[in-house]
Amino acid sequence: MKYNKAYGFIFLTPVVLAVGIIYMMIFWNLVASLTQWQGMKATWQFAGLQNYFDLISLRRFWVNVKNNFLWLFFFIIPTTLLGFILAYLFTNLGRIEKVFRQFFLYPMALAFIVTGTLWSWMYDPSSGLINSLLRAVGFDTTRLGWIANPNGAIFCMIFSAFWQYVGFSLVIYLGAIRGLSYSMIEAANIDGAGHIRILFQIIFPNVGHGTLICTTMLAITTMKVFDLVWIMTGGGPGIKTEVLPYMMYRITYSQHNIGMGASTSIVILILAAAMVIPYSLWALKKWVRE
Amino acid sequence: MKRFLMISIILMMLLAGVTLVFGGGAKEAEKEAKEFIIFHYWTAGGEKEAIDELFKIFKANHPDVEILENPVAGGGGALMLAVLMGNLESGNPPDTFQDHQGNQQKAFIDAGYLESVNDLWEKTNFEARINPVWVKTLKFDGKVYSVPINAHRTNWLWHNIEILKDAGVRPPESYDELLAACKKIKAAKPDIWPLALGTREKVWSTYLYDMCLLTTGGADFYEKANTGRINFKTDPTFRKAMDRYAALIPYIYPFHATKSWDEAGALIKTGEAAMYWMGDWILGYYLAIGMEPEKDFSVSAMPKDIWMGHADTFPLAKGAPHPQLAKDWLEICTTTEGAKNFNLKKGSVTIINDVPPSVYPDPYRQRSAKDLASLRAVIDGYHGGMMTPAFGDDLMDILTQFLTDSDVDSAIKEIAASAERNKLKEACSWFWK
Amino acid sequence: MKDTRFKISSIAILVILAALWLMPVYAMLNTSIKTQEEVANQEYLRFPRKFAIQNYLKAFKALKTGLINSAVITIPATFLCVFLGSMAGYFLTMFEFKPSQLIFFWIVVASFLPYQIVLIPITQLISSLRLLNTYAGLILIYVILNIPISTLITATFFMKMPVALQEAAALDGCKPFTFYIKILVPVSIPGLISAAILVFVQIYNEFLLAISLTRGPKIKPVMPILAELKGSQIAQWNIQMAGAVIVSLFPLAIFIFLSEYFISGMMAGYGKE
Repeated sequence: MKYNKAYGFIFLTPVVLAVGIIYMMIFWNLVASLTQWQGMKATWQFAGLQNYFDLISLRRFWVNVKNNFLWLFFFIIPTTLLGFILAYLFTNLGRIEKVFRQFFLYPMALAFIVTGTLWSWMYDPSSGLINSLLRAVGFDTTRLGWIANPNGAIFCMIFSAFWQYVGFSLVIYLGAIRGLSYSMIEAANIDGAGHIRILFQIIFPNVGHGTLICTTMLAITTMKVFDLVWIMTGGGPGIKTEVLPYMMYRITYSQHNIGMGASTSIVILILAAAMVIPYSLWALKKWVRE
Repeated sequence: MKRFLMISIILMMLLAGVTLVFGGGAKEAEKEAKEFIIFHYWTAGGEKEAIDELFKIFKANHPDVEILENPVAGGGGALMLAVLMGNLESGNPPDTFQDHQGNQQKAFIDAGYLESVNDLWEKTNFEARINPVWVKTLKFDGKVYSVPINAHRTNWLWHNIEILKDAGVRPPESYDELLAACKKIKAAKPDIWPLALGTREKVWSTYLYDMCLLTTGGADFYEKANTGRINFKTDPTFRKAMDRYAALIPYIYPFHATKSWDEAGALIKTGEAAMYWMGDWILGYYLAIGMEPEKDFSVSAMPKDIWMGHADTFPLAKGAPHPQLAKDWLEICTTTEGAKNFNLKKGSVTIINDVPPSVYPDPYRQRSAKDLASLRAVIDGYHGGMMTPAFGDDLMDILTQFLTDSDVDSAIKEIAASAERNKLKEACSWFWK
Repeated sequence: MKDTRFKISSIAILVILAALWLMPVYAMLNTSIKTQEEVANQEYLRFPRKFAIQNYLKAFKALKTGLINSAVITIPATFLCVFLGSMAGYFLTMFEFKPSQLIFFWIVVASFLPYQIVLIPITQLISSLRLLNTYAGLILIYVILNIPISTLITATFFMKMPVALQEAAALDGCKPFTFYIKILVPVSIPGLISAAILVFVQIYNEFLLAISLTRGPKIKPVMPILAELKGSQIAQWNIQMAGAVIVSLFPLAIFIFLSEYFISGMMAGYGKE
């Protein structure tokens, strides 16, 4: 049995209002993307889909799309996985957990404008922390350019986002795992199942909602990633580390081409909607079942 | 436990309610007070002290006015553009804001966001007191919209005195001397990089581009190239300039992608690099990190017969909420006293020539002021607004890529394509009127 | 026996990871107590020769009002986001309402909007409401922009709630709002806190809107001031890093405070089951 009262709508109203305003802005954006608005002053002159054609004819656009997918793959999976494993280790730890958790949560507390700088210092090939430590233990670091290496730069950047967001997936999974009943895990323990089996065959299938939140939130973060790129490389060298939101920002505010910037953001939303569809299908199934 | 939760929920709701009510009320109260709104990005150290000097004078003239400064730090002004666009387009202009000249300012003028201040220029006889380059890059169709406050010289090549002496190199004053010096330093000291560079902010790659254009083709060619008046694909001088840029790349600090402009500059201090092509704001930084002029570092102008740099300006915003105060502010910027006090702290020189070079405590600014008053002057490609911001933004991408692969052909091709896409020639035609 | 071995090895793994995780923090703390002169040497690993504690004083002096402003803006905004978002999440998952899935889909898509692009309409909205340079303006826009995220997280947590819980409550004559406050919120504390942490971080770290919608230091939150500490043409990394330490203490305190709820919330959850 479910509640079915008209006044239940009161619960929904504030969110509908807020989301309505967001959609008004998206609509503004959609209209702007169909104009030839170049320069700082709005010129609401209809240009059809010209901006979109211009956009997809740019090589830069496709490099950005590729980079965004690299982010999706190499950011979301490791972050989710490590958060999950850490959460499992923590549940077996008892009291020390409280202290350890802060270490992994701390990066979330740091300002994004600072973490970019910190990681630039970590990666600095000549005097950065990583190479200094490696040299101290006797490694030859002359060929380790990290973020100065054009092909490795994007992975270095993804790693620093990984560092910052593992705390988040950890929290989500801690919440999800604690929601499970201990009897289930204990039963498996008595059966003599190994930790890896408990982790992936018993716990993982039962924290699906945690995985879902985690991957979705990280996908949202990825599709909006901006500060790190801006501060660590500015998208460089060339456009090797540029991603769609950063390109959107530069086209809009540095190049004053608002029509094209707006069309980039619409493309981001379309990509996002495509990613959200599987998510809502899952949710649908879930709701129907209940 | 549950009660505690309930209490804290109620408390937070109260807090939210109170802020909503009082926050809304505060605005009304502020409306009545007299205020002056200014956006700028000088936020720390000497640069902040410099603008505080101007505020001091302003406050003495208007003791009852509250100054609402909105410092927008980050990205060397790139962030401020976004903030300004949001505020201007939605009809909430500040009274004045920090800007450059040339195409950087023209973008605001084309959008109709600025008000002309010809009367102020006439009243203070401003045009006669400054180098013609400023008039040329601040006057659009006979109208001026802003007052420049300072001039930063950027064709400075800073160097570590000791390293150059050890390698037996004279401070270079031309491109050929620079390349020879690079070779000599690399041969004498293989673990020192002859040229420092930091491209964590990509814009600094364009400074070397400007240098190559200027030293290869001279001032006229430089202006033509940066305003799109050459055929990038076929122009032999342009190709030569790019070849010269490429020839420098092996001598540039290879990990430039991880360094910001100041961190790259500090390589001169640590002795990891010998020379650094950077504007004179780095002087303030060098003094702050305890380097001694003429003992630890010195500088040479390159080419020595041209002054290159850019100015910071304060335009008058159209629809400024307090136009009279804004005009008074601009007038302070035209005065000898205001300009002098500001620039002494800022590390730059005054735009107006009536401040004698001898007021500056260091030899570099004395020379910059003297050169600005007497030499041919050109403005920087990106920050000076010689090229359009859109083309400059593309150029950074092209050049940072170029720095990793030294591929002259593809760089030229891309620069030509970008100039065409951004209609560089048409957009810069105002300069040649 | 097996369990102790597992415990020891997992502690070992955690220690190594934690050390790795703290390395950037070490760089931050280390730089924050150096002089500008020493920072210029760029020896990030090396301990400072003399401590420059005055960095913290300088940074704190500049950040003081900003910290208060941030608290006044961030705490109510986070609270409103989580409160309103979870109510909607509750309605969407536990009420019989056909278009729920569709609404949910559009809410999620909205949360993907990179807000930088709509800076102009946002400024227009806030100024037409006469809320420019007020706490209310910033709170309002932050709530609007972050409500989809909190709805999303809380709704997904509520999906896990057994239907029986609500059935029993309804049979007892429990009204939906009472059910939400008295039963649902206490048992789903971990979910609410996850949402709160994320929303808090998003709002606290935001600075483009924080600059665009304020004038001067009276209302301005702390993050843009932190960006200012370094300067544009003068590079005071040491002061900025000292500021970063100060600025991060507030969210850290919030995290620790919320952690307490996290644990007690779980206890409450087990009590109910």
